[in-house]
Amino acid sequence: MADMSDWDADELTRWLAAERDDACDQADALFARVASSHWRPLEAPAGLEARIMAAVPTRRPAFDLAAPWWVRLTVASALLVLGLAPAAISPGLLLDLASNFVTVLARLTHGVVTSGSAVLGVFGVSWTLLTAVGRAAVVVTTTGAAPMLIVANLLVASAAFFGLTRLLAPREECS
Amino acid sequence: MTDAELVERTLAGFEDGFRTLVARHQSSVYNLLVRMLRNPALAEDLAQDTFLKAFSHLRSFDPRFKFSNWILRIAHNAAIDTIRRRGPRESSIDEPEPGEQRRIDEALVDPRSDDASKRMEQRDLARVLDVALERLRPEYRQAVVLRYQEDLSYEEIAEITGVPLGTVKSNLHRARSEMAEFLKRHGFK
Repeated sequence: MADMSDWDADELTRWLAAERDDACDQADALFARVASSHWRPLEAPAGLEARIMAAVPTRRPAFDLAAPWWVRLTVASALLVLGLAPAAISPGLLLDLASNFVTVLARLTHGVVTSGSAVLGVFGVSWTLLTAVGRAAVVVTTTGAAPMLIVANLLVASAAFFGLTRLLAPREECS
Repeated sequence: MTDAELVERTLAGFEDGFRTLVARHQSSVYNLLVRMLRNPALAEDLAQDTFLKAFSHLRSFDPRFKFSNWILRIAHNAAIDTIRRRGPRESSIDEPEPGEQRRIDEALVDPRSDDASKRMEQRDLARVLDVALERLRPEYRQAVVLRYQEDLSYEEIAEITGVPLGTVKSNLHRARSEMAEFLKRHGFK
């Protein structure tokens, strides 16, 4: 509730008079003053924030510097092990791993290319079918009285749309 | 921290960022929903849904715009969906709902009486404005709340409600006229 010093009965009277006289800008400003003096927004109920936060799905941070010390220690240890591992592997083993990786990569590429060509084949068939349907549609719509009918329909639809838009548009009374 | 920074912090996985956003904007969202739906329990549920929806779509938030307008738009859409599902239950300004007349009578002390103190008038005016607002159509109510309680510009209201600027102005004009009429009928001159 506003402080007593905010209260000015004259503002209310002037607002009501402005509304009566259709003085839009003045009425807007005066009502804003009446509202700010007397009319407070409702506060959210106690516990709403907690309720919302309880329903929010937990999403862990990528790396929280404020995490407990044992979490940071575990992450650091894991990174250290990962960093030292390559140094402990012999050159022969590393060569084997690399050649295996290349083989797997080649197989994967072959699979992707095969699947792609199959998809393109299906697409080609669909394209032929679609063009045939399109040609048939063009023939039907350009033969005899069909074009006239289509144009007439479009004109009627446009007129109806324009009329409805005009009818349903809100009248601006106060701008 | 700005709202945009809090959004970034939330997206980085820090829950406290979103908690602060909720604390900052929950009253605006709740106020709009209560005023539109006239049902505090339902408004509370929808306020929760609004923030959950905002959380799950946070990546689509454009930081060039105001977060408050974005969240109010989500709340507005949720309220409109609910009103459509419920059907047009709102009453016109000439038809008080059952039991409403008693509330109006309780709210009103004849302001023409000599012994009505300023404090009484002030308190009563707030309550009568509440009743007058409740009797407006939902689209008028939301325009009034956004303009005179959330202090938003016509352009911002148009952005939140998704209606043309001219309609926002017309709605506000009609809403104020109906509220003024209501006040006059109840003795405020």
